Parts: sequence; structure tokens; C-alpha cells
Amino acid sequence: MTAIPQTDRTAPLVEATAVTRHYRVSTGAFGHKATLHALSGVDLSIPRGAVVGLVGESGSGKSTLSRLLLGLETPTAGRVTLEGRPIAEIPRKQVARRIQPVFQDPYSSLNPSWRVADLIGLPLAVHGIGDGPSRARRVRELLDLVGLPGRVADAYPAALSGGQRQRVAIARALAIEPEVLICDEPTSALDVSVQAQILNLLLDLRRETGVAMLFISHDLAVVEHMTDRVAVLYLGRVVEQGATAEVFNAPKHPYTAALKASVLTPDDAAGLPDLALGTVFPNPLDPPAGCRFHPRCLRATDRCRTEAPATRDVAGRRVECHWAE
Amino acid sequence: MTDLLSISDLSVTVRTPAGPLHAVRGVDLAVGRGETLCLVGESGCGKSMTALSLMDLLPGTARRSVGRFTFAGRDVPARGHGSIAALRGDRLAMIFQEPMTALNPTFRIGDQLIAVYRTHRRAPVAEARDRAVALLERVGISNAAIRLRQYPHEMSGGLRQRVMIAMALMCQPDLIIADEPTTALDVTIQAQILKLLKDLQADFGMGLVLITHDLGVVSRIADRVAVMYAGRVVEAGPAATVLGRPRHPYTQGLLDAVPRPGVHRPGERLGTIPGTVPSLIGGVTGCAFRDRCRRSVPACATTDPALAAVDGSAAVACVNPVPADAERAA
Repeated sequence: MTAIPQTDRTAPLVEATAVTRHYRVSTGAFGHKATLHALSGVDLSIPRGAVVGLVGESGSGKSTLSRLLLGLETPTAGRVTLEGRPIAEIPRKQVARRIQPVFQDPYSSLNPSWRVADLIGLPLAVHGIGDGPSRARRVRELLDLVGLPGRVADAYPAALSGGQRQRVAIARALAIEPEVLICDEPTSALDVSVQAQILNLLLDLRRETGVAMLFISHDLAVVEHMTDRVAVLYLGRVVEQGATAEVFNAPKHPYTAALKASVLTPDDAAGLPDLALGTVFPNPLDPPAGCRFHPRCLRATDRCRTEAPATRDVAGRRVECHWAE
Repeated sequence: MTDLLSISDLSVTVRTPAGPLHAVRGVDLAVGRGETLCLVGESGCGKSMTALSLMDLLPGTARRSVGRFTFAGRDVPARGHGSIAALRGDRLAMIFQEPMTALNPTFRIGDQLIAVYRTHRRAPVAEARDRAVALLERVGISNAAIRLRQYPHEMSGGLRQRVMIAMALMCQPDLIIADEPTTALDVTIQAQILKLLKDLQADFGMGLVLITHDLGVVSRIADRVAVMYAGRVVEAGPAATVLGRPRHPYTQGLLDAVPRPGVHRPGERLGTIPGTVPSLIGGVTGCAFRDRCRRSVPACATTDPALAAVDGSAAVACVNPVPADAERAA
């Protein structure tokens, strides 16, 4: 039996190191198998108490990474650690005790035949925390923490609005006082006025409880508002990673620059941006040679088409582009 | 500008088990040639029902009533020559949110494009195919002749939406109604599709009615905007005026709720609109927004305000509108 590495309190709370995840998928009716490269050598760390943003388009690997960080799947290569100890070696329940998910769609993430009090109380029961009366008290506290009235405890999810359901999902995630929330598009199913309420709630919870978060979103204005650090995923690679303000104010990777330019805030009378971005889409079953972004990059050269760029430190952040300076 | 399409006193009532739901309650809209009108609002405000009733595509449970409905200067009859059913796909075209469900998965996209054209024009297949190829190229699809032989599932979401736009353009319509055309797409693709719509509009001089929940999209593409809440237009006017100096508390609330770099500091609490949308089943008395409104006064419970002009060009339906000189960024 291999020795279990000791927990390291100085290590980042959750860390992915050179994580690769492939899926074998069937490409047609005749059972041809192909390899889908969801993640290819990704580094990401969530320090204690930090809010880390993860942005990228659909198919870039955001949700795969969130499942790996939750310990729901194991990487094909590389490793995910909790305080320096591989998550794969930690019993499932101990991981769940410290890392909890908040999913995108509160309509499908809550069991419709359970009352709210039972939904929120289940993690307490599973982890054997407290007895009946103390759990009931804790459920009331949690409802109060997420801004729901106590009478909601007896309601079924169907009686709640989308915003109220997402508050229930957040209360459930917080029930066992985890150290990290993995929030996968927590507001994209909600209207803007409700989105603002949930974002405010997450900001308040962070101040009050110090919980760390991975905040996954396709909405860059929201990520810019919510996070300290941000990682930009493109086709399974982190192409730029650093302090949020620096990455968004002066992007070094052409893809980050295009993402930033495509944010349509209601302030600007500038009209629509002319994105320096091609419309050729890469196939994750057959990622392009060289730099994975080159088919869409207007600055691509022969070097980009043949040689994959190494991740370098540029202007205080990690960038994966031959030409970033 | 003479109106290309104008509709007055549009109401839509949907039959539900709990009683009639008043989804649209007395809406007036007009859009001119070459003009972009954005209908903006949150889920359930009636914006999609408004769009569907303009296209005569309401579900069977919904009933529409209209004061006056004109298109290209003529009254639109309920059926027959000149009705929406006859104009649809020809003079008016619609682009839906999810192109995967709007395109028929069992036909090649070429056949679908050609069918649209030949339904309205007595034209040989070759002419229709040439037009399809030209339009696919115009909307930024390379290898158009090969793409014609593909099925919708063989394309990405962005490409399918480009196909939908090409299909809408087949008969060179006077008006396009687009219901959340970019909501299902990634942000970079969204910007490119909106840009394409704007460019095509400049080329063909079409009117465009764009339905969206995204005020950022409105500010970048709209000439005029109508903000909807609970089946009513609560504020309307030139986009720059309405978004720059909102007078309805709801419009202001929406703008304050969106994180905006430069307006909100990172990590700062965002503005919220407390409460939820009222039920539109049965009747609504007074202003439907009053329970969520910070500026409500006793008169709001009894008066259902009509749109009235403010600032010359804009109109607001509010008993106690936001003062014109109020601090916006607060």
C-alpha cells in the first residue's frame, strides 16, 4: 500500500496540477470510438477564502474541471489535491464535507418531492451532525442566512421562484460549513434582477463565512465583479490566468482580449465590437496542432500552427501564447 | 419615419387551468424601415407573446385582440391575401432563440432554405439554390455549397443561427423579428451574430424587432427600446435616452442590477428589485410594479398609468417617475 501524503495546511485548499481528462466517445451509428480531449494539462488553484473565476465558451472544459475538483470524476492524468493530499485517496464523504457544489439550474438540482427543510437538512443527516431538533434549528438559521423566510421550510420546490430555489440550493451547500463552493453558472438560469440578489448573497456569505469559491460563468462582467483571480479556458487549456483586474484590464492572450471585447455592458454607445476572431471552430475530438487557438487567431503565424506555446509568466500572470509580452 | 409595422392596443390572453392569464395588456408598437426596436424585459413580461402575436404564431390556448394592425401602410386582415399568414416567411421573417429546434432535423439545410424561397416565389430550384449559397456566404459560412448538403446536427450552434438568419433573408423580407437570437450562444459568437444582423440591416434596409433580456445588447443595437413589465410597455423611446436617463423605477432597477465595470466597484453589492413578478391570472388593478417599487405612492394602488411623454422623445407609464436630474450611478 502506498503511503498517504500528509495534509499540508500551507498548500492551496484545492489545487489541480497538470490535469488531463479524456472521454471515449462514440462518433457514429457504427460504434467508431474517438477520444474527446476535454482538459489537457490544466493547473488551477483555489487558495483559502479566495474567489477564483473560470471563464470560457461552451465545450472549453469548465464543467469537466468543476467535476474533477468536486472529486466526482478522476483525471486521466495529473492530480487534484485538497490541502496537498490527492482527492482520489480521500474518502468520498470527507471530500463532500469540505467541497460543495452549487449548480446552474435550481429547477433540476432540487428533488421536487422533498420539502425545503428536508433538502437543506439532508447533508446534516448524511454527515451525522446534530440530532433532530438541532438540525431543525440549523435549517432555520440557514434559511435566514440566505434571506428566505422561515415558512419556506415546509414548502416544496415547485412553490418557489427560481431565485428562491437557488437560495435553497446555496443553503443546502452551506449546511455542513464547507470550505469551498464550486458554483457552476449559479445565476445563468435567472433573470437579471434575481441574479443581482444571488450575487449579493454570495458576496455577503464570503464576507461572513470566509468560504472560498470557484465561480464558473460565461458572463465576464459578472466574473469581473465577483472574483479575485480568473482563469481563461480555451479548448481544454488555461490560456491566461492571473489577478482578475489585471487580466481584464490588459489581456495578454488574444482570446482573452476577444472575450473582453465581446462583453456588452449597457453603458457604452460604442456599438458592436469588431472582434479580432475567426469563425472556424476547433474540434475537441481532434484538437489542432500547435497552438489550439491558432485557427481563430488573426495573429497566428507558421510557428503557431506547428509549435504549441509553453505557459509563461508575462506581466505577473500565466499566459500561453508565443507572442504575449 | 413612416412606420413599416404598427400595432395598437395589442392584448393576449392565455387560457390556463387557474383562469385567464393576461400575458399582454394593451401594447402599442411601431417600427420603421431600417430601424431596430428592442423589446426588453424579464421572463414572463410578455415580450415573446408580443413577438409571436406579431407573427400570428400564438399557441392555441392564447387569444389575441388588436386595435389597429398595419404593415407597409396597409391594414392587416385576419386571413387571406395580405394577412400575416400569407406574408410570413416572405415580407416578415422570424429568428428564434434555439436554432436546433427551429430547423427541421430530418432535412438537409439546403432543402429547407430552398423550400422557403419556392413557397413564396415561382422560381426554379437552381435559382433558389444559387440564392441559398449566396446568402450562406453573406452570413459568413464558408464552403456554402457543401454546407447545403449538411443536416442541422452537423453544425455548431453559432453556424445554425447563421443558417436561420440566411433562411429569414431568403425572400428579402421587410421586417425581421428575432426572439433572443443570441441567448443560447457563447459571448464571442453573440457579438459576431449581432454585428451580422446590424450589417445585413444596413444592406437590405430591413426593420428589425429584437427581443432580449440583455440591456447590454439593447444599448449596442437598438434605435428605440420598449421596456416591458407584466404585459405592459412601461417605458419607451430612443435607446440612448431610455438607458441613459431612465424615468421608470423598473428600468432604473434593471440597470442597477447589472454589474458594470466603471459603475460598480468589484465586490460591491448590486442594486436589486425586491419581490417577484405578480401573477397575471385574473385582473391586475393599479400599477403591476407597485409592490416592488421604491417610489410607490398611494395613487399607484388605484391608477394603472398609461404611457405619457417625458423629455420630448421618451414615454413612461408611472405615477411617480424617477426625477430627470436624479443621480444615476447611485
